[in-house]
Amino acid sequence: MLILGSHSVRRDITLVIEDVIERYTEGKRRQTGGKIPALQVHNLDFYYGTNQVLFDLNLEVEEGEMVALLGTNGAGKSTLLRAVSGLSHPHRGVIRLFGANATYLEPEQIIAEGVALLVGGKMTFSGLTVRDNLRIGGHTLRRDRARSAQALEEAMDAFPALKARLDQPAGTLSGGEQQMLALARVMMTRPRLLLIDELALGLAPMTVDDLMAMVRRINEEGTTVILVEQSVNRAISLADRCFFLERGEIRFDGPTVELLARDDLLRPVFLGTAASGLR
Amino acid sequence: MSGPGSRSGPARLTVENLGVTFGGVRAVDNVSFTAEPGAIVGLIGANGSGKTTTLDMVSGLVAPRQGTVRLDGTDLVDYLPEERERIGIVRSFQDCRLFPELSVLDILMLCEDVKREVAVVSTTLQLPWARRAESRKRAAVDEVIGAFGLERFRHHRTAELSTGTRRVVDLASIILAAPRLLLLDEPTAGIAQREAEAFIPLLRRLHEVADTTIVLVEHDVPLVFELCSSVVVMELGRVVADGPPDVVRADPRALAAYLGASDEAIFASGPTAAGPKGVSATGPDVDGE
Amino acid sequence: MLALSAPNFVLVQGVIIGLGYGLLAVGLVLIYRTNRVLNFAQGQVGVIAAVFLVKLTADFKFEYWFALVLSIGLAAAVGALSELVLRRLFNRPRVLVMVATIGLSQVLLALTALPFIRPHNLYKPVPVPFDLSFTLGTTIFSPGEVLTLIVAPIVAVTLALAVRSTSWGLNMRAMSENADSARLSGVWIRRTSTLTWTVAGALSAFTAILNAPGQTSALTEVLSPDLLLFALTAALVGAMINLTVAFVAGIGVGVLYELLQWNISSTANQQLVLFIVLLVVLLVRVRALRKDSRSAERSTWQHGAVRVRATVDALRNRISVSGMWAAACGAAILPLLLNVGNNYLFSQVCIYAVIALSLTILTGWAGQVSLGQFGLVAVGAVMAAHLGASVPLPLLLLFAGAVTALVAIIVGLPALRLPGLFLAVTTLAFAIFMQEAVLATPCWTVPGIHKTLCTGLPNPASTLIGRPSLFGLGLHSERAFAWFSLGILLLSILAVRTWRDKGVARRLIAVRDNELGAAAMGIPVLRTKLLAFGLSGFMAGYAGVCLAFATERFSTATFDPTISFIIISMVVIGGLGSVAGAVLGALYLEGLPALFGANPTIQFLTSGLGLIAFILYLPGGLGELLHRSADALTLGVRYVQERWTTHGPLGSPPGAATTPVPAVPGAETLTPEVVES
Repeated sequence: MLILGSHSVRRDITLVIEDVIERYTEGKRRQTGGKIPALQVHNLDFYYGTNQVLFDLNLEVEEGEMVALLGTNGAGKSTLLRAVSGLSHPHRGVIRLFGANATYLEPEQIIAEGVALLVGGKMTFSGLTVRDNLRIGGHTLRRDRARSAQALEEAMDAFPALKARLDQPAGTLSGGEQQMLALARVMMTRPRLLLIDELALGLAPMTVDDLMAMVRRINEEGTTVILVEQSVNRAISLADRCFFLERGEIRFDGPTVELLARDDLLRPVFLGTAASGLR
Repeated sequence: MSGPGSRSGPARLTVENLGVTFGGVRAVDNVSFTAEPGAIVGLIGANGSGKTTTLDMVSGLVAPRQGTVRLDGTDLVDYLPEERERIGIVRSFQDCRLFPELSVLDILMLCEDVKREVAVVSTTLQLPWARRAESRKRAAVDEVIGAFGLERFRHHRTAELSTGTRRVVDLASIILAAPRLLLLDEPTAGIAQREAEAFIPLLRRLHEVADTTIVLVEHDVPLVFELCSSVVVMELGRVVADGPPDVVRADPRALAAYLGASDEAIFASGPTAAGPKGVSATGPDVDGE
Repeated sequence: MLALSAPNFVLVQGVIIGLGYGLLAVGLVLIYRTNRVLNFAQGQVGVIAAVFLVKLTADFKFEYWFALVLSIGLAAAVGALSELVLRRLFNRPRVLVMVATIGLSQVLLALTALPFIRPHNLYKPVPVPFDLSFTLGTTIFSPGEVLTLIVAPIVAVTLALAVRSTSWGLNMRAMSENADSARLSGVWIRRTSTLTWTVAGALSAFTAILNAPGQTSALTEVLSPDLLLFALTAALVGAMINLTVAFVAGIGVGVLYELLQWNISSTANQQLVLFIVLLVVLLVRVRALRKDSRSAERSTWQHGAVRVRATVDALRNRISVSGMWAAACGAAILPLLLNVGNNYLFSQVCIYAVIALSLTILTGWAGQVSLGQFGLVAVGAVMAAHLGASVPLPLLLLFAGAVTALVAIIVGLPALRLPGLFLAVTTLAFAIFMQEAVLATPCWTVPGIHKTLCTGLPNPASTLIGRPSLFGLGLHSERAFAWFSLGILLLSILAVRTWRDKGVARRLIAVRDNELGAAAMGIPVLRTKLLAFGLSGFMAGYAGVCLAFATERFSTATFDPTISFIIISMVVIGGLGSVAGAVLGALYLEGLPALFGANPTIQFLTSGLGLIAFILYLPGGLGELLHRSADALTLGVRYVQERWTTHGPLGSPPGAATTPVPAVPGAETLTPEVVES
């Protein structure tokens, strides 16, 4: 029991030291006038039970960027988004949103800070009407009636298909329309940071293009966007920079175009030749 | 149950024109392939390509809308999952969280229980044949635990093990089930790098020892190419390429499928994909695919 | 066969009480949708309001409307407080939450005894604001009933509007569909949850206040299980989702009840019809209920059950075994030392321990929550009452066990395809049915067939049962019976441990934790579930025989459905799934109050509050405590051993093998959902 106790105490001390170092570096950066990134992840470890899924993750996303988070199934992409959105808390490490430490905040608080998470296929409430779905999105605006009404108007203009179905249950909408609904709701709150997890899951390619155009627009209007993607092609068409996650570790961080040249990294993607080099 | 159940040794799996729809989306569309007895067939494709759903239909968890699944020629349409298990179709699960509260020993003993059923009354009264059956099961389980190096985890609950170890337990239970057709669903997903590399020799050994046909769904493509005698590539519910690894590797459609919905894939798939806007409805509600 | 006709006033009466059921049902559905919890304290919250109202108007002489607002406010506040206390249990095994709500209702009952809530004169009726009454035919409807007819629909409509238009309603609906998505959409789920319980509390207040004037006798402080069951049935018709359907179904249940009262003379037949209706409702709504609960139920069993594991450490094993022997020997000697009264108590404790063991199999291992275990015990008791004199004891025990096993299987059948917590409803209904119908009616004419079945106690008010002899030895003395009970207990423990270690338990747990996975493995799911019912029923059956002989005289009042609540509390306090725990639980809840009933600390510990405290802070129960002390003892013994033998390095640090340590502290909380990483 003593041994167990000392082990956990030692671990706690290590964590505290790391925390202090991290805060110091951050302070330094601020002092030298560096721009505050939209998202910073430092030394992140994540466990599901006893199972470690993310190993010492470090990444930064600047404000206004659109980056892609690539990787195969089981790599840890969704887990990372869960940690950032506050649904689960990491075991070790710091997550900063626009400079503020958000590691242990609840999703409700993080949403209030201007972060929105869109999970492909699960963001609409099929039992509620389209209007109600949008009303939920306006939660952060609920204090200001005028602004929320205006935001609703704008959303309707941007998505005429939804306008026609305002009072129908969201479950009757097609998959693409439901994603549009989710996007519309997100847009209403004008988030500063938008995390999208597999937007195109199960959708026809044409619908996907429409959605992608909308995401591009959102980014152009100033929202930082992080896109979790399986498809390298789609990532190229949207994001200039990307991260490649594999088995809980970041293997690549840089311009998306460069990623294509990295045979050794795109292990799950075979490229016709150089097969023996893969392993 | 005569037919596939009474034979032993690896079975032949024939999948013909398999199709199923979830909420308006064709999750699996006209899929056909064959797994020869003793072969290892790899099923690859991006998320949403329908690989796991196909596996579900072979194991009986999902009922197909069209098409047939045959084991050694017998149509399996009326076989429930537990019945398929009895005729030799064994399936591993993607998130191997099998039974969190049971220990490794318990789970392996359960596999043995299924093979040798002992009546409750006999167990309660600890009649001699019940005792003998139990010790025989114990012996078989001990052997497997030793073979897979699970000795130190014998009494740990599966909830406390790492994903890699849980997968090994899953494989161990598979050996005990003496499968004729083995369905493996992403055995290396979520496993840390070092453990994943140990999997190829493990799976090879499994294949030798179990003497069974294997159908493997995986994301780790090099692993699939290394291991499998035949590879099936799926995209958006359809088979895009099928054949020995070398052939598939050179197929441009397969490449495109893996990079994700390229233009080629769209035009190649014809009118269905280019249908009216909003043709696909709510995504499949099964986890993942 | 059943010609149900009635004059209008009966229908109106039905509607009146039905409105009350409807409001209660709506509250149940609201809470279920928000937190996936069946709140057994739902009715009791309102009772506080009714009592408080009387207090304010009668003792403090407040204006009616002012007092009404305060009372409803009190109930709402109590509702909110309950949520805050029970909040951390919402992700735990369903049975723990449910037992916590049962404990809560006991706490609420105790609250009505508080001086500032309890009126001086208990026999004052709940007041009404006006003196309106109307006549239908020959019946006069009192002002209270008129009030109900007016107010209840208004409340229902207001609620419907609130759910549809307010932000709380919107948030609640979103949360009920998908809590995580709701959080990510910015919904504050904790506030929504608290608000929902507040509203439910207010609804319950309306029910109690409106219904109370209709009571002819004193102010009822305890909400009868019947009322709760009717509300549950109505809620189930709405598949625990649809508020409107639940409300209307409540009215329907009320009307049905009055119709049955009017048309069918025997209580037994009335109860039978109601029981059948409930079973039919469950069967019809199976699909809707299954779909909703599936994701919430799956994998919520972690971190609730005491681990059913064999100890690795040889020393630890020896310590447990010697501990057991010591306990057994001590228990065997005890009857010699105790007086008659205490020996009687000894038998009681032993028998209750057996009953708790039977529930361990069903609820602890198989995850099927049963609130009617005592109803099964009643079956055994009835066998003893009828056959005690004619059949030799060992045979009687086996026969009663077999019959009860069969009954248990039949009762469990409708809930077989549903998650474990819905069995709670059928078993509750069964317990009520047993007490009010079967036991109360010694001989019962089956309608239609005109055959007579003698099932109940020969004399429902008070039946004498003579003790038989066992292999020629008389069991008349309390001491002899104490040994007999102990013997039965030890045999039961032996059986249960065999089942635990030799395969039965692991099968039940596998089916409980992952039905699909178990099926894919080849385990026959349905048969395994039925096995759980059967074994549990068997034990309850022969325990019933023993109980009958132990008490030698009992009546239908002995089989109050609320005793089943106590049994399940025993299992929970002892630790779900633990064999030793079941015995300890029985000792705790049955032995302690009898021995030290006057002591206020004991009173607290064994009350509803104590139960909640256990669930919140010691989920593993007394069994876990026992395990930990055995572990500590092992450490101590090993330390002493090492000090004695000073040569060479000895003994690896203990605890490495016995207590698997999660690498991450706090890793006991496992995320229930499947996450694509």
